[in-house]
Amino acid sequence: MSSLARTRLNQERRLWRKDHPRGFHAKPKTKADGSGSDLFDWVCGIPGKEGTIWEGCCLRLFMQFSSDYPAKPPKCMFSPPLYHPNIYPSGTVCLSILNAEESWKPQIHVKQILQGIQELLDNPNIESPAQSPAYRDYVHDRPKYDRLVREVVRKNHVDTFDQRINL
Amino acid sequence: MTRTSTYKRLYGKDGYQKIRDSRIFVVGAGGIGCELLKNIAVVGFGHVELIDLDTIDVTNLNRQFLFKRKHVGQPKAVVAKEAALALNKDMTIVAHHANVKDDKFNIAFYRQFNVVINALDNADARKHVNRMCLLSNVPLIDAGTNGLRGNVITIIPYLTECYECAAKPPPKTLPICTIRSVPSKPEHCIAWAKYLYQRVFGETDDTNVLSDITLASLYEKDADPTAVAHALVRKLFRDDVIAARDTVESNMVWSFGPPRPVELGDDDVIKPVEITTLSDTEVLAEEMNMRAFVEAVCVLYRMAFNHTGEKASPLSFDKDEPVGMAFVAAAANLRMICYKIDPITIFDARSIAGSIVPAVSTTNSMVSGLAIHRAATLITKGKPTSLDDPVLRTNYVTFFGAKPLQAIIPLGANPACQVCGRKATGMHCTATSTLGDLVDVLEKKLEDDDVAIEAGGTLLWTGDETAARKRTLVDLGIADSHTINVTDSDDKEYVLVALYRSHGPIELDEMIGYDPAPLDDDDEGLEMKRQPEPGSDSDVELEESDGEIEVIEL
Repeated sequence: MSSLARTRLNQERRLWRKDHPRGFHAKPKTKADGSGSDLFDWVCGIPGKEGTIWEGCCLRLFMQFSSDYPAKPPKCMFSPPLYHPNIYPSGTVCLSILNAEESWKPQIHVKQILQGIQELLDNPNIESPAQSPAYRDYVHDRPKYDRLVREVVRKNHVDTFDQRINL
Repeated sequence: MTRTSTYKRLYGKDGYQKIRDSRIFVVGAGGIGCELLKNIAVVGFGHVELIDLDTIDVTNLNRQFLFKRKHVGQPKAVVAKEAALALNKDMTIVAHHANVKDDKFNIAFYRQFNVVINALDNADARKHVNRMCLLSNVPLIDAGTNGLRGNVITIIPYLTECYECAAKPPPKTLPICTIRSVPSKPEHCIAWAKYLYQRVFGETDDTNVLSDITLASLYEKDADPTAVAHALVRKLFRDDVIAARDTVESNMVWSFGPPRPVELGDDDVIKPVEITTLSDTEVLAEEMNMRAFVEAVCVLYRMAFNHTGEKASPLSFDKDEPVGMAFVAAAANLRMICYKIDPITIFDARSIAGSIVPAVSTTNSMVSGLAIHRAATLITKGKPTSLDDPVLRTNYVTFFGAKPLQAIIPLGANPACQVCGRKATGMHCTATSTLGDLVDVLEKKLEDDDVAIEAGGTLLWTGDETAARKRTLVDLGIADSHTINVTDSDDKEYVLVALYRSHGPIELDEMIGYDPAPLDDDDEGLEMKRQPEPGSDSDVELEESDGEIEVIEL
């Protein structure tokens, strides 16, 4: 287990506790046996931005850190998987700042990752599609896309996040 | 002249007696370990303990000279011990056929040695031994080789830089987008094929990057393996390739033009081919890859699945298992063909799949000689107190360039190091000690009421995580010699090593090491400032030597 990863994650946890953007959630996942929480496995909530079709939802996302963190980015995965052009069918987010070969830098905080993903929701990157249904609809049938997104928002409404967080 | 007279002259009569009286611990009995042990026997150290968890494989025999063909299958540590005793009966050797990370090799165990020597092949075990030596304050000599290059590093706890003072470049991984959608090198296809193997025949794993591939036909009752194999070929190398070509439009950049599906004959039948007849060193044609793929799927399917279509005995990939390797090589080659990458031989596929670096016995031999001389010098002269001490020189061995052997003054311990830059101490406790007891002791000792306590990646206690207060440390998984990490409200870190006793309250020993270096909130503090050591990567130029080459002086 890398100490650097551990130290950094403890620090991320404290930074987040001190200050985080409104509507967002992030914390180490509570372990089932009640012995504490897993520092390397976080559960997060990302609200849809106001004024976009995503407004009103809060999406659950798991952030899994490896012992190579922060040299390597965490793996970010929507649970359940999300209808969105840049989200893999498994729920994994495809975003340049989450790719060690692209724009990931060890200085990027959890807060910036979550805000980056929030930004991606309404600004899909059609240069790098990760699933075909949402990609196809976004490019060829925008009304259908908007309708399906509104469905996602309804199912993942912010008011139900507290019930969904521990599922 | 006896054998020992050389060493008596070299290290002095008193010095040689110290070597005879010393205790050393050798971690690893592989390529370097065998050489070390041979040297140890020849010099005549008094007491040696040797550990290795492996057994002897036939592929070891070309460079691990203490082992003979008849030893294949036997524990390395035990056979190496016997072979060393045959060279020199006048020493005691204790062989541990065990994992060095086992709890029984605790601080008390390490404290009995004058020197520990690492002869390991992986960073994980190196880090572990580095930490144990720091916690028990014992010098560590780390010998390592990589093909034609090698190094010997001497670590004196809290004086020289430790194994983790400098950030190591993270091992290269491939971005999943490349593996899934746009392969451009054989490596990408091999990685994909290994994921595929795991996905089809291995334990269910939701983190597999191919976990969304649907393979309904696999799980049918009484499925015909040949039909399953054909279905896989059609899906993976025809339908999915066509879909990739057509879905992802011109905005996707293909390295070698759009992919093309494999060509299946009119009757769609692929005849299997016996795996053992495949050439290891010739590139197989498209059709032969398909035939090998079909055969491998059939064999692996029968091993992993039962009649009801349930994956009853999942497999795990091993590059030395011929059928699994044929599956990975054939699947990777077919993908390469689809994506217009030149296919490769099974031999090359195995090298990539197993990340094989060739081992060179001459390099092993050179670093082992240097390491044993270092150990003997440390024992005869005592622990150095200054970084300039010649015994601390880091040696680099290389077979190319103008300076085949270099001796460089090491860097001092890095105060920002996440491992040796923290204070460490023993924590005496009993089976009934609770987390709450520890919190009380720490809050008093550190004069801080907002500590965080974590062990093995689990946060046991933070300002808002207090549920486990009444539980015992044992119950929370903290066994004897386990470490506990404590962070105070300034993000300073402390390491506690659990030392169980029969009774008494929780007590902390005196802290050893540095005052923890505070971490800054600003971005600068988040990165380790040191660069990777020279010689750790072929792209890095080796540093200038100061001209001092100890071995040649002698």
